[in-house]
Amino acid sequence: MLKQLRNAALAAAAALAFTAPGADAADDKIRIGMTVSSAGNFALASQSGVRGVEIWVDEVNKAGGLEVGGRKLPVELVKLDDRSDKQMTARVYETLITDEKVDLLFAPFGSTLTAAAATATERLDKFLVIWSAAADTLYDQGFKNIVSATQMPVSRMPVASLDLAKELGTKKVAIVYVDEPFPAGLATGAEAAAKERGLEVVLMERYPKGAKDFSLILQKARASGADVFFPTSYEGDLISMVRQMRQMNINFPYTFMVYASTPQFQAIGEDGDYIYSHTNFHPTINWEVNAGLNREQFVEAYDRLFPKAEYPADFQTVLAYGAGAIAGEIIEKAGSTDAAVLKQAALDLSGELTVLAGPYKIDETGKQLAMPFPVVQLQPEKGMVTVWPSEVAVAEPIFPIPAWTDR
Amino acid sequence: MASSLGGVAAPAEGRSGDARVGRIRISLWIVVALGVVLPLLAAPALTENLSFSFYLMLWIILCTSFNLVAGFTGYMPFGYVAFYGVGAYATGVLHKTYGLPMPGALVCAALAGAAVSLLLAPTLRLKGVYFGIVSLALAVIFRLVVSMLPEDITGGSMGLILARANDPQTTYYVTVAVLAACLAAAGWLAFSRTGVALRAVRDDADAAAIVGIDVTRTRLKAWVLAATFPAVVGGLEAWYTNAIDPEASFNILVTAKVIVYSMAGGLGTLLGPVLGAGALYGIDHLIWQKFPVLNLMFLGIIIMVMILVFPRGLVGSFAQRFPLLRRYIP
Repeated sequence: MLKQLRNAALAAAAALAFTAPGADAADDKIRIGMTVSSAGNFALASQSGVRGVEIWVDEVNKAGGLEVGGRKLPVELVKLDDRSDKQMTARVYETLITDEKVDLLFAPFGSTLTAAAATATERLDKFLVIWSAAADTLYDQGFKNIVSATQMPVSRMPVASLDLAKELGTKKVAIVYVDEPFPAGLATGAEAAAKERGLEVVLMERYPKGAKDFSLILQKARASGADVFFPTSYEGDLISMVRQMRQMNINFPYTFMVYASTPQFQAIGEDGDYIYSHTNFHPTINWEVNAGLNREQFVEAYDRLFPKAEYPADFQTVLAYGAGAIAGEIIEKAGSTDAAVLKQAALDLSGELTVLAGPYKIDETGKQLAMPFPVVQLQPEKGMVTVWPSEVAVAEPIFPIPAWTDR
Repeated sequence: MASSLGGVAAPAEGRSGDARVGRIRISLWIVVALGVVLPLLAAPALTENLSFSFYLMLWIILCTSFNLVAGFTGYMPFGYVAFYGVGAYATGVLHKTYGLPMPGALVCAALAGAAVSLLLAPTLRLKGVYFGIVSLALAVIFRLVVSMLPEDITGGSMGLILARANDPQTTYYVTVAVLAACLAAAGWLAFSRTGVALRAVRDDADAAAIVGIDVTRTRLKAWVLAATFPAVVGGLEAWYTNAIDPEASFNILVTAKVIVYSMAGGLGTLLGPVLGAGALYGIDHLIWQKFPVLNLMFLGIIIMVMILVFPRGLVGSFAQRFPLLRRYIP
């Protein structure tokens, strides 16, 4: 028993030895707080994003830091683990602000965690840079100190593809979606965007999760007379739809599939040809950047800093890196880390910056209005190429999509 | 595991001895409860970091109410998070979708928790691990039901954002009040005749029935009480973080943590869950702040060591080491 007590005392002592860090605010650097999910559902996406921010921090510090009030200040990234847990997120952000004394913060991955983080940053009056929260509702809560530097809300995601559809002279849109929040959000956004552009929505069809047979839906879409087919489901459903379209010889002049840009979708081979999709990170997407690294420099930095990373850079890394580059410009413009001053600087810079992820434009609520995902097309000879908008297009769109019988 | 704890005094001492021991135990519990509540009440004046104390209260409330069913009646509800999630959603939906003020929404959350516990009361007929499995399945079902409700009511899998109600200070003080109520209710249940009856039912339901205890009613009291507090806490957490979604609100980790914390402290005593929640949550906080990447691994090791060293929980092992003091432990 005594031995047990001694063991217990040792365990307790070991636990107590991990004393809390008493970080002091240092005036000679800018401390930026951020969460990283070591485990849980958001771990991969969160870590992808953190790598993007780390590339930005490395780039800034190599250049001697950010210029604030006539002095060059290096940037320090302070990370705490949220375990993809909303409860932890609230603690992470309060601890970063009150104990770690960070000057401003980067948001976690996803809308729920970002809302929890924003609650803390608003109460303690700190600036929060968002890179991955797509829920539209986040921006009408009256949060004063948030800015979505790179992530556009769900409702705006279909905008670029429908701009192209309009440009190509289409008239009628058939929207099909699985009954899940993200696809449903995209579908609602597409419906609104189509109407705004004077396109007629001839079909708005929801189907339950788990459906495998899309023949009825496809026939409905054909019967509706649509020239734009716009399903917003995930890869698996889209692949089934394409195969069934081929079997049933169903053709649309313009078919846009959100996930057709993923390697998983493209594994279906030539059946996927001519389909339109969108992405923000691809060798053929090269914006004229005026803040931060361009795509080549970014890829080089990623390979140099993370030679052992499990995954290559993805769109999360690009969004987070872009948010870093924009935050840097905002801090230099503000010359301060006061939340209200930073927010004003963020508004002043709206429409002025273009980063790796695209042009930056926000409204008063901090909602991102630009950063379009360029439209790509799977062209048989060239592979996936960017066809819209004109700033980044490298190929002409093939329109209308050739019928199955003509291929 | 804890069936011998908090039992009646040795027969030789007689009735007056029993009463004296009872009074000491009640006094000790009052001291403990005040010792927990008062510092937490003062915490906002000392630090701006409310979250640490807020979630400490959350775990103490969850563990204490979990103990009412797991420790006092011997049922192990592996789906305990269902009450928490139902409370979070009742609060979120009533406030956001139907515009009910927060206090009203929280009261409704408590009622929702109680209603769900009554709905699930028939599962109390199951025993041991069968009850646990059914309870786990029910938690998954509740989560699915919530995600399948119309999106304009629950917000679907994206959940709801309630930031317009954002008022962490008020949320904090309301939580202190709920904590005090929870500790008081647990004390009442443990020291009242119902408490004695509960322990009798737990140890031998047939014998208890023979001496005239209404077994079903007694269990039901503990069950409803144990469901009401997590529902309120779910609502409070929704209010504090201003965001709910099915993933976070029905997270199985909530149940897992409640079980680990309570068992680390010692089920079956009032003190155990409070001590377990405080100790493990505190240790978790320290290593989490110190090791951003490896904290979960260290936490796992510490929990394993703790269970190996104190298989009956902190309080249970103490009672085993000092058997004479056992009956004074609240």
